[in-house]
Amino acid sequence: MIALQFSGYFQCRLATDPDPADEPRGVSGFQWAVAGEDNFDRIIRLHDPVNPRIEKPPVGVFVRRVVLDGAEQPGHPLAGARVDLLDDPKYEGRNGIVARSGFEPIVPFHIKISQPGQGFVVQRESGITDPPYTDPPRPGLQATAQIYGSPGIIGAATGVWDFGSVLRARGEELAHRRAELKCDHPTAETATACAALGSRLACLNETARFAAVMHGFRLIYSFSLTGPGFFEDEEHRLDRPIETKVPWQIEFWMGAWDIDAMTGFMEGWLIVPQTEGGGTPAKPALAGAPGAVQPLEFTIVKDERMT
Amino acid sequence: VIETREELAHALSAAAELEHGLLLQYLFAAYSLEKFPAPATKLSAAQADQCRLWERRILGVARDEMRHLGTVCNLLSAIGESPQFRRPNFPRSASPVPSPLPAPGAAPATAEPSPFRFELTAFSSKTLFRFARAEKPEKAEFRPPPGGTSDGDDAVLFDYTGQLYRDIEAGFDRLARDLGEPGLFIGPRFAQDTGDWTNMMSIPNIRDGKTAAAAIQAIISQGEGSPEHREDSHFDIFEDLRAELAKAKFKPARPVVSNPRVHPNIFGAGDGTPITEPVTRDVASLSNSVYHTLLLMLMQYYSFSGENAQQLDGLREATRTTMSMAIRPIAEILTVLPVAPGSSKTAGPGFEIVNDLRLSTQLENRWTVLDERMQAHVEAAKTLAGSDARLTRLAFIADSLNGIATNLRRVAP
Repeated sequence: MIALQFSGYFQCRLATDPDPADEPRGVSGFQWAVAGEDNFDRIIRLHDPVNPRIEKPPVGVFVRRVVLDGAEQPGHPLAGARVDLLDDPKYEGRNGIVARSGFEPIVPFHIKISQPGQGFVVQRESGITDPPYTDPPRPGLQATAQIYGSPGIIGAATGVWDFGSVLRARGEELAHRRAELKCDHPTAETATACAALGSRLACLNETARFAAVMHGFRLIYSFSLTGPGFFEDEEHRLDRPIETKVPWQIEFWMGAWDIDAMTGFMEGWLIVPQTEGGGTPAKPALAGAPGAVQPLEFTIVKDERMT
Repeated sequence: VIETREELAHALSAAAELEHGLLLQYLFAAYSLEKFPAPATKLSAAQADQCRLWERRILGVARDEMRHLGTVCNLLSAIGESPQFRRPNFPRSASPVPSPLPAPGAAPATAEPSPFRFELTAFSSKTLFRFARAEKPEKAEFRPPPGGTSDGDDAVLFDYTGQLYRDIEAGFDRLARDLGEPGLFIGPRFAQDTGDWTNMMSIPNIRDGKTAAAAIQAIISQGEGSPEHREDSHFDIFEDLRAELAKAKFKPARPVVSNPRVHPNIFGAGDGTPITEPVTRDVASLSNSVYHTLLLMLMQYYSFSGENAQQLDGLREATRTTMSMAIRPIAEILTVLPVAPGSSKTAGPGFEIVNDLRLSTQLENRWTVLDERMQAHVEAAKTLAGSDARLTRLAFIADSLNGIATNLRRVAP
C-alpha cells in the first residue's frame, strides 16, 4: 500500500451566494471578477491559476510525503510529484440546493498524480458520474464536515497564523499601488488597473472581518475512488504496480480561504493499494497520517440532510 | 389615526405592498445594468466594474427591503392577521390599499413628486431620483429631479415611507394601551418567521409593544437614517448613486423597456410595454410563473399551519434558492432579449401576478401544488434552453429548479 500526502494552494474563481452559482462576474457575494479579469469559471485549479492576483504564496499542489507499506520514505522520488484535479472540477453546492454551505461536493472528482516527462502517472476517477443535482445531497462527494474555526491546523499547514494582518498589509500595498498610478485621476492607460485596484480594496474593506473568519474555515472530505484508474511507472519508482480495480481512499481538507486572491489551501492523503508480491504486507497506518479526521475539540457541523 | 386592529392591519398591508413594490423596482433597475466590458458591450473594463459596484449597492438595498417585508409580515402575524404578499402589478400610480393616513383633512404634500408611482424602469438618473424620493426623510435636503421636472402628483395618503411607519408605530402604541398587550399581540410566536435566512439575515420576532417599536424603528432607520446619521441609509445610498451617475460619461444600463408585460395590466395605471417577441414572451411567462411560485412559498412559510421545523426550513431554503438561482438569472436573460421582433430595446422581468395567489386549506395539498408548479417550471426551462442558442443558461436554471423541487419533496408530508 502506498500513502501519498499532498498539500498546496489552489485557485477557484467563483461567485458566492447570494449571487447565482453561475454568475460570471460576481455582484452581491464576496468575490468579484474585477476590471481586466476573465469571467469566473468556478474551476478548482491546483496549478496554472487564471488571472492570479498575488504572486506569493504560489498556487500549486504537490506530493509532500510518501509512505510505503506503513514505512516513511524520506527522499522518495515521488515527493514533489504534481497533483491535479482533472476535467474542470467545481464546487457544486448550487447555493444550498445540492449541499449546504461548507459541504459542497467536488464534481467531477478525478485525481492525477504525475511527474511530467518522467513517465509516472497515477490517476483515478471517483466513479460517481450522474449529475449532482438530480439527487441531492451527494453523500459520495460531499464534504463530511465543516469546521468554522481551525486556526491551529491551518496555521501549521500554511505558516499563516494571523490572516487579518496579511489582509491589512495587502490593503496597504494595493493603496500604495493606486497612489503610484495616480488613480484619483486615471488616464486611459491606467483606468483598468485603477478600477481593479479600487474594486479589490472595496472588497477588502467591506469584508475585512468576514475574510479573516473565512480563512479559518475548513471543509473536510473523505471518500473512495472507484472509477476508472490509470497507472504508469516507467522508471519503477514503486516496488510493485498499483491496483486500479479496487477502491482507493482519499481524505483531505480545503481551507485557508483568501477571498481576495480567490485561493485556498488543501492538504490530505491518497491511499492506494498495490498488487500482491514483491513487498511486505501493509502495516497499520502511521499515527497522525491516514487516520481519523479531526480532533473533537473543534466545532464539527454535520449536514443533517446526509443522515 | 389608527384606532382599531383592522386599521392597523390595513396600514401594515399598505406597508407590505410598499416594501414589496419598492424591492421589485430596485431589483429591476439593478438587473438592467450592463455586466460585461467590450467586446460584449461598449463599456470599458473600468466602466463595467463601476456598473457592478452600483448593482451591488442596489441589490443590498433590495435585500434590506426583503427583510422589511418579512418584518411587516411578522407584525401582521403578531396581531393575529395574515401575511400580505398580494400587490398591484406594474405600472401602478399608488397603493390600492387606501391608507387611513394622514388624519382627515390633512392634505398630502404635493411639492415633490410622489414616490409611490410604482414603475419598473432601467437604472438612470430619473429612476434613482424616484428611489431616493421613496426613501427620503421628511425634512432631509434633497437635490431636485433630473431636468427639474416632476413625475406628477398622484394622490397618495402618505408622502413619506417613514411617515407611514411612524403612524403604524403610534397605532401599535395606542392599541397596546387600549386592548392591553395580551389583547393586541394575539398571534402565536411560533407562527412568525424566526429562521436564519442567510448571511446573518434574520427577521425580528415580535412579542410585545417594545419589540414591535424596535422593529419599526429599524425599518425607518435603515431607510431614512437618523437626522444625525444618514450614512448608509437607503436614502443616502441612492443620493450617492445619483451623484456618481451624474459624473459618469457612459450609458450604464441595457436598453430595457419600462414595465415589460406579457399580460394587459387590467387594474393598473397604464399598460406598460407589451412583450411581443415570441421567445422573449415565453421566457417572460416562465419568469412570471416562477415568481408566482415564489410568492406561494412565502405565503405558506408565513401562514404557519402545522408545518414541522424541517418543512419550514425546507420552504425557507426553497424560497431563498429560487430567488438567487432562478428569479435573478431568468431576469438577467430577459434584459438581453428583444422586447419586439427586430427591436433594439430589450425586455426585463415584469413580476406580473397573473392569477390570484391562493393557498390550499389543506397542508398536504399545498405541497402537491408547489411540486406540480416546480415540475412545470423545470420542463419549461429545459424546453426553452434547447430551443434557442441565447437561452443555454436556462439549462443550468432547470437543473437548479429540479434540485429545489427534489429538496421540497424530501420534506413534504
